[in-house]
Amino acid sequence: MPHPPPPIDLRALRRRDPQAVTAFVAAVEGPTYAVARAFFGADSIVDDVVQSTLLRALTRLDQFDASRGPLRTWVAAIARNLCRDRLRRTQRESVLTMPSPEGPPPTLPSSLRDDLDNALTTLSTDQRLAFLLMQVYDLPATEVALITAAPPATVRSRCARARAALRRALAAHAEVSP
Amino acid sequence: MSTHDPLESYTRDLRERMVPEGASDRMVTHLTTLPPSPRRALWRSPLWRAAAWLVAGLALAGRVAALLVFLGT
Repeated sequence: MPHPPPPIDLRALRRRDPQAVTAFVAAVEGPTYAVARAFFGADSIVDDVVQSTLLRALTRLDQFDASRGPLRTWVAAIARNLCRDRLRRTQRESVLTMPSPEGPPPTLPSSLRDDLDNALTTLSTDQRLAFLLMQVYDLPATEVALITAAPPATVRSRCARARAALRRALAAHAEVSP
Repeated sequence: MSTHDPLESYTRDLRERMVPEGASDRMVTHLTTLPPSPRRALWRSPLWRAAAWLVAGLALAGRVAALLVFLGT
C-alpha cells in the first residue's frame, strides 16, 4: 500500500541541518537507488549516481515544486536524467546483474532468486524501472509517470509486462526444480 | 498480505538488496560535511554583503544628489 513520506523541513535542509539531511536521505534514497539499479544493476557506478543525484537535488532545492509531487519523485526524476546522461556518455554494453544479498541469510532460495534476477535483467530499462518503483517501493503509477515522463497507463502496462515476465520465470523455475 | 507468493517474497528480497549496508550513513555524512554551493557561500560572505550595501548606498546618494541639483537649478 502506498505510504506518503513524512514532510521534510526544506529550510533546515538548505542549511544542511543534520536531522533534516537524515530525513531527506531516508525519504529519497530507496527510489533513487531503484532508478540507478534499473539502469546499471549492481555496477559500482550506482553509488556515484545516487550521490551525485542527492547532491544535485540539495543544491537545486529552490527548483523543487511541491505542488507537482513529493520530494522523492523530484529526486528520482533527477536520478533518471543523470542515468540517461551517464549511459549515453559511457555507451556501456555490460551484462546487467542485480546486487547480491548482504547481512542476515535471505529467506528466498538462491536458485530462485538467481532465476528471477536473470528475468529482471532481461527486461527493458523502462519495464524494470516501473517494476522496481511500483512493486518494490510501492510508488503509485502517477508518481512513476512523473519520474519517467510517460503517461500513467503506460507505466502500469510496463509494470504488468514485467510482472508477467517474472511469473513466467517462476513457472519455469518450478518446472525445473519442483 | 500474501506471504506465500514467491513474487511478493522476491520483491521484499529485492528491496533489502537495493540500498547497500551503511550507504545511508555515508550519504548523510557526505551531504552534511560539504560546504554550501559557491553562490550561497558568496552571498553569506560579510565582505560581499558590505560591498553590496556600499554600492546600494552610493547609488542612492547619487540619485539624491542629482535630485537636489535638479531642484536647485
